[in-house]
Amino acid sequence: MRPYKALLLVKVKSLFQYRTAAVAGFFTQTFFGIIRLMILISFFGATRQSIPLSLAQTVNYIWLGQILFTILPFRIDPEIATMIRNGNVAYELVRPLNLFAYWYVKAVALRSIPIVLRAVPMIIMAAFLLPLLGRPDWALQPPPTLAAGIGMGFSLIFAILVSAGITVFASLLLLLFISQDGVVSFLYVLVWGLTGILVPLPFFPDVLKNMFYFLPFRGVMDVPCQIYSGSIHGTSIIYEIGLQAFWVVFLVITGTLLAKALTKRVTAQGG
Amino acid sequence: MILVENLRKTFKVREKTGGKTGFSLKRKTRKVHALDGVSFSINKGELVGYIGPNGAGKSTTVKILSGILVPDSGTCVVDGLVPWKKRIAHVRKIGVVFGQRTQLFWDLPVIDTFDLLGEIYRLDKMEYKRTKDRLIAAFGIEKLLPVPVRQLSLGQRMKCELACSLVHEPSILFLDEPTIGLDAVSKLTVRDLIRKTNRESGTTVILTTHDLDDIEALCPRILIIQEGRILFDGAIENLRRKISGERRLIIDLKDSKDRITDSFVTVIEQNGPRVHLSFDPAKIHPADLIKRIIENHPVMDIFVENPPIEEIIARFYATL
Repeated sequence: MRPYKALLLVKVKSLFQYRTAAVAGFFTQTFFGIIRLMILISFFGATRQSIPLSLAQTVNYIWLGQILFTILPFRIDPEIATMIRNGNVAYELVRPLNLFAYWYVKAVALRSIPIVLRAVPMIIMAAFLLPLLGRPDWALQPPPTLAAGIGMGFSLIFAILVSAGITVFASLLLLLFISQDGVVSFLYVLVWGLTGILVPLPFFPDVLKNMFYFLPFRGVMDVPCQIYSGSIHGTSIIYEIGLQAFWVVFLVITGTLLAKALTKRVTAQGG
Repeated sequence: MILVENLRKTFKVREKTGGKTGFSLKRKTRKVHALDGVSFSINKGELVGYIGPNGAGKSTTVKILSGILVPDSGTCVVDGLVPWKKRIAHVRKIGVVFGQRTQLFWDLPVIDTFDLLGEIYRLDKMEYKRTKDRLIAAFGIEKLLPVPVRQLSLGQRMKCELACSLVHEPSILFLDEPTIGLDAVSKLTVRDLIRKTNRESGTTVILTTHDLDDIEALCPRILIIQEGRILFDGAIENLRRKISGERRLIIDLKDSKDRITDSFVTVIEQNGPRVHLSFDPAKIHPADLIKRIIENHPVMDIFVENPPIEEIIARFYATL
């Protein structure tokens, strides 16, 4: 475990350097948070059908989603993408490490540290500043129950692990395709549509909702958001976290196998 | 220690034929035999130069030896292990520097990469500290350690790359063009460090380069590869003898109008008083030749030299 621990620390250290990105991210995610809220709130006013989430739940779901934005596996680790493109990946293969584990550790840092950088200002803004600005109805509220809070905490850890798994999977595919454009635009569609960042998943029709259970993507964001907002409660919290854990195991095992297969046929580019 | 037998590796190169869109239904692939039956063996502690024109298969060989690539056929045993079969156990014992790439964390100080490698190779803390101190002193990189890698010059960076590749005290060091792009002084420094590593730690070094001065300065033995085949294996001296027994004589004449004519020499060029001659030492002993010239011409100065290695290699490539 020693190398992986050290690697995590180094990666954390280098990710903490992206402070300007965090500031920019804070403004972007606040802006889009408010837009998403306004759209959904107007939807609440316009429909007469029964709505799967209450207004307060929706507000919490959206703000938590905005706070967790960087958990989403939108991008392949830019460091790894560059390495694969120019062939520096050769250095990754001359280390006495399991390639999947090596990249997984990096991905865990990539998916968690930016959240840490953004969370505090986002929470201050969404929970304390908005009520002061006269929109208490838009503000992030504490979870309805203690169980929801604790459940969200655990679920968030698994969400990071699922997202890291997807990230590494995409990086491995890059070994085949070399250029990241195709892989990334595919990821984009999946992530926007299936994690709940665009429209909270409870708002989807039942057919699609059932389908989402067969994909790892809702484990990245929807599950912690629903637990926090209270729309997943009681024993379902444990069931849902268990499902996330299943996806972590699934992604780690298939990813390891894929990494093994691909390293047998990898070609380092250029010279 | 390193035994390579009949290695073969073929790459498919996709050929795209122009077209305005670059889109075509016919996809042509051409097979390139990067390695076409390469065999050699290298003993412990040797310093071997591995040279050949671009695309000859040098990097492919190094990548196979370091466990990154899997060959199509052939065997290769390094220190009792087949690199691609026991990759993790194998890479623990080797150090690799790719001159055109970097293993250092771009945004972090050099020391962070150092320490991380100590952890990655699971080195004993005390042992790591000793090796680190020794390398820092030997490479003179103390002052570079706290500097973020992106702010190092190429020469400084290369010293750090080399030092980093030695943190785990590998028994074999693969250097793929370690002096590429370096200025003259940095080149000399890097060469010195390579020589030191080889002599003092007994590390086996395989060096690929296009810089033939590197080869001449460092490598008692060279391997020349061309189109995936080893064409020469031996000392540079042997290659020289094989290509041409020719020797060079440079003479500064007192009178620039003087012309040397002698049946044993051919005049290559004459710039004012300086005349470049070539002769065959098998036909006439250098001392006799010099005596003959001094007797017939007033001479200021004389140097004997070998044809430059570039010329030998170029001629060797040309004979292929």
